[in-house]
Amino acid sequence: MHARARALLRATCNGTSQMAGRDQERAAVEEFASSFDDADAYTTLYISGSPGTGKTALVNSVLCGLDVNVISINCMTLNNIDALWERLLDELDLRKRNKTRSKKIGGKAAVEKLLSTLETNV
Amino acid sequence: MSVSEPPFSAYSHFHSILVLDELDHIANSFQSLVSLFSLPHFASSSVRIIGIANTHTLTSSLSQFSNSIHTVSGVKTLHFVPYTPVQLLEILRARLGTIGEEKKFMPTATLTLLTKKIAAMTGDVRALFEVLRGAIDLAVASEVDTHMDLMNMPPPVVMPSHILAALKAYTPASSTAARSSSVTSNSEVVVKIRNLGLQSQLVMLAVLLASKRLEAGLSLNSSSVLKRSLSASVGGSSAGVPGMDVGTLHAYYGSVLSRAGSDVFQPVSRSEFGDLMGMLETVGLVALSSASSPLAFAGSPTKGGRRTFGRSVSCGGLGNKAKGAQEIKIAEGVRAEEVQRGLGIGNMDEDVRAGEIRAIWEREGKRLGRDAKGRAVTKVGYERGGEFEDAMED
Repeated sequence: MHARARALLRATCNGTSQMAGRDQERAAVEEFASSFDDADAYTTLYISGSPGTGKTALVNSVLCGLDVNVISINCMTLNNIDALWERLLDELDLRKRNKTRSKKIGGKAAVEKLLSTLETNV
Repeated sequence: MSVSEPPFSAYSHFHSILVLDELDHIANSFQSLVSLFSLPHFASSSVRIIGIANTHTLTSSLSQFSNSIHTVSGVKTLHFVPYTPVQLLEILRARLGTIGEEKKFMPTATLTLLTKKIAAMTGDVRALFEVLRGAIDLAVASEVDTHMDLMNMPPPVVMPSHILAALKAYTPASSTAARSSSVTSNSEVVVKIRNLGLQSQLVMLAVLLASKRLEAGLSLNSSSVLKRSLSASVGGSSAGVPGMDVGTLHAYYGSVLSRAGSDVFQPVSRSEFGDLMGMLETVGLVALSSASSPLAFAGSPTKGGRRTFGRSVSCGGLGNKAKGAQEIKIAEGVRAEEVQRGLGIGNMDEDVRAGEIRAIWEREGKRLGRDAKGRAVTKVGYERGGEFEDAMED
């Protein structure tokens, strides 16, 4: 029995909707994530707090229940912000198309350019 | 653009959320954060960003900017405070609930002790699990010692003593902020306050001093007694204390600093004071509420107010919100003695700045003591004054 207990006490945030507590924070994230059609909505949510306070777990828990495309990047795996721009381009698959132009357009500018096309596309 | 688009462009009608976890690892300047958070504006009906940052590592550059992040256009901030003992207990019960008989071999007393201890240290749920796992191991080991027969061993009961032993084993290795002089490792609040800028610390000091005066039933700017009756809790938590509004607090703050002597600290303007207050709320040290509706988190005004809040970059968050009465309290879960420790009041080894802050603390403490004794003596007031005097004499 103690072995079972031990196993249940692994600290994971495995993206299921099961998570005790943090009701107000949950409501705030849910509201933010459902605000795409609202022209006045906030476009960025900045979550801060000490380690082990349930930030990542809560975000995963909320997003897994929503009909939305989620791109998750753990910045611990990156060295600096330029690496983030590159990673975003990879995620957005732009690099494949713009191989020849990657020298002219810098990482950040390329990301911005791509995002702009999303709104006007098709 | 041609029809044969790469996968993502096919999602142009989809809604996408970009989650950036452990943002503090790469965000090395305020400018990089600003340019990052400006990305969704290029596709504002399709893309959102959620940035998650650990703010415990206060040497990280991100903490310096956390006071300004809520001023960036379109950014909403959400601060997670450490778990309370009750919340930690809930989490444990939820996790262990499937076992069924968990109350028998993990009695309530054991779990209560564990959750109280962890909450007092860091409120970190990983620490909670790790210590409990360690305690289970110890309980099993001690059973094995006494009953050598593994097959017929009675199920081990985890006792408070196991928790304490597991805690001892856990803390030396992991707490990087622990100083040898304090009994437990410094809490998040203490480290946070210690690393605030000078003006922010003075604002925090003003909030603390004002809370103490209100708890003692005194008004902020004179020695007159507060007319309304207080349901003040003598234990020092801010939960029962009435809030103070920004204007009054700023005036009080100004008078405290002028009593310190004009060449020591310069008070900031009313609007800058509001900005600093907003910052303190963002990092979870104070709680702000409007007269009509309580706002639990930084940056979460009603829909109508959101427009002005989100779009203006130069004004501080509070400056826009505070048209009417804004009530300020020390945030729940933040203890007065933690604020004291963070400000350097009460320990001997302090630097010059802390020495000045301490001088203000002692001066105001004497003043409070005088004012409290001057009023008709009630038990609450007297105890408050007495407690205060003791605190100075250490």
